[in-house]
Amino acid sequence: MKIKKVTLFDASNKKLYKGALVGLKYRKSAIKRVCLEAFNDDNPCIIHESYALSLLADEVEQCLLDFGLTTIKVDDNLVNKLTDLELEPYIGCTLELEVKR
Amino acid sequence: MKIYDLDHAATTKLDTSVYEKMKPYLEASYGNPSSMHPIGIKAKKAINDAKKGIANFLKCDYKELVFTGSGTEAINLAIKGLAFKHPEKKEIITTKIEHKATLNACKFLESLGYKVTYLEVDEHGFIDVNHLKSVISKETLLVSIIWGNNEIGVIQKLDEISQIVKQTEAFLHVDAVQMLGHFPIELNSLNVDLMSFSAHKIFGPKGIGLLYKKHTVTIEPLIHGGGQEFNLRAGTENVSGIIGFYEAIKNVYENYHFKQTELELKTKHLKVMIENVVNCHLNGPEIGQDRLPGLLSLGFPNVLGHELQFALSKEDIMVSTGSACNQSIIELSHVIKAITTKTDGVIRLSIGYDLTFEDIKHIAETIETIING
Repeated sequence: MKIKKVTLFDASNKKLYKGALVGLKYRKSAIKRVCLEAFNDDNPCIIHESYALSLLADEVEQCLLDFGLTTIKVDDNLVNKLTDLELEPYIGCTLELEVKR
Repeated sequence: MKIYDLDHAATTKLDTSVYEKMKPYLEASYGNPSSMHPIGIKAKKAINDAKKGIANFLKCDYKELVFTGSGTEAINLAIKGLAFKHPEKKEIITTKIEHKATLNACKFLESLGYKVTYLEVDEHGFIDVNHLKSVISKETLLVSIIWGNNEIGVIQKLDEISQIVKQTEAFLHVDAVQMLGHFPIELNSLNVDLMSFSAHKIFGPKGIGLLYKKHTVTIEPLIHGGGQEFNLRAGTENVSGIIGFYEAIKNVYENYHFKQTELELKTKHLKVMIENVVNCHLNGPEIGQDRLPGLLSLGFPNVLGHELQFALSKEDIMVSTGSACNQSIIELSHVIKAITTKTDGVIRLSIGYDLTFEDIKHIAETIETIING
């Protein structure tokens, strides 16, 4: 299964983001960590950072798929699970997943 | 799981025969070629044998060949070595689609006061020869041209270019790094002053390059030290690398050069199969005599090249993008930007001889699944 797109809605159902998982906001520290793991590079160029982002998005995808749901509430539980994403400002929002089997 | 290597323009896997020839010089025959004792003398003879063997294939004198640490170093030695030796002339002509080795060597010279003209290319990547004719003059020190382009595969019309250059006193340097693996280069029939090569693009080792420098051309060395390489490239020779380079050249002249029609056929097949399943366009000239066999540069509308590359790499299909990093953004490479205003995501697929038609089907289907979902 793959997540083609995610849509992030706020509490009043206003669309905040629609697109690929890679387009969500990832922590800089997470990107740096993955660059170190993958390339042992603590001063990566943007192309290497984008590769790290893709790896992070893959991890987030797997975690979201493990919920077995297509609509997921952004709450403390999710924030604690997806620590590489900057989700705190979106607590109370909803993630809708477009899943392809 | 099978790995599909479609990145042969980046580098190639060392041929087993090359490795076997190199091995003794990494083990028992480890002598310094400058040492006057048996293992040193053996190494010296081996590198001279290799150089004479390479010269025989390239149809030049072995004294016209200088081993370097890479293709990039060979290009730097040609351009900067010439500039430092002939300071009376301060104008250089190159193109907008050169390898970074050439572009950044020229940029460095610009910082020293040189005037560099970057020739325009058309939508397929061919140099505007009229532009060349209009800017070349008696003040021109050097014209430096990439023969077979590493990104879009365009093969420049070298005869036409050398005819123009040779009507002046300018030197002509040719970056032939991508050409050597595909076509039998015979320097005695080309009106070229300097030509750069690299071993790892032709199933040879990394860390070894080669500069051809015509007898009559003088250059300044960039690395000073001992008298190796006719005083043009100091430093103990990379003996195993040189031996490996010779074996790799032997392989291309005696084997791979005869497989280009087959490689081109597979390239055509791959292009058609991909075009049949997704919307894309070819960058550079149509497949044929003006294009490096085995190299496809494809633009995909509404797709990011690096994301497609990542998705393909997860399926064990290795490709390159037509992207470059520019500080904090990923942008299309200078080569793609020189030939088109389109902003489609670009990937380069450069295939090897072992790719099968079954592999091609699988690759096209995978691209379809990634792009169309």
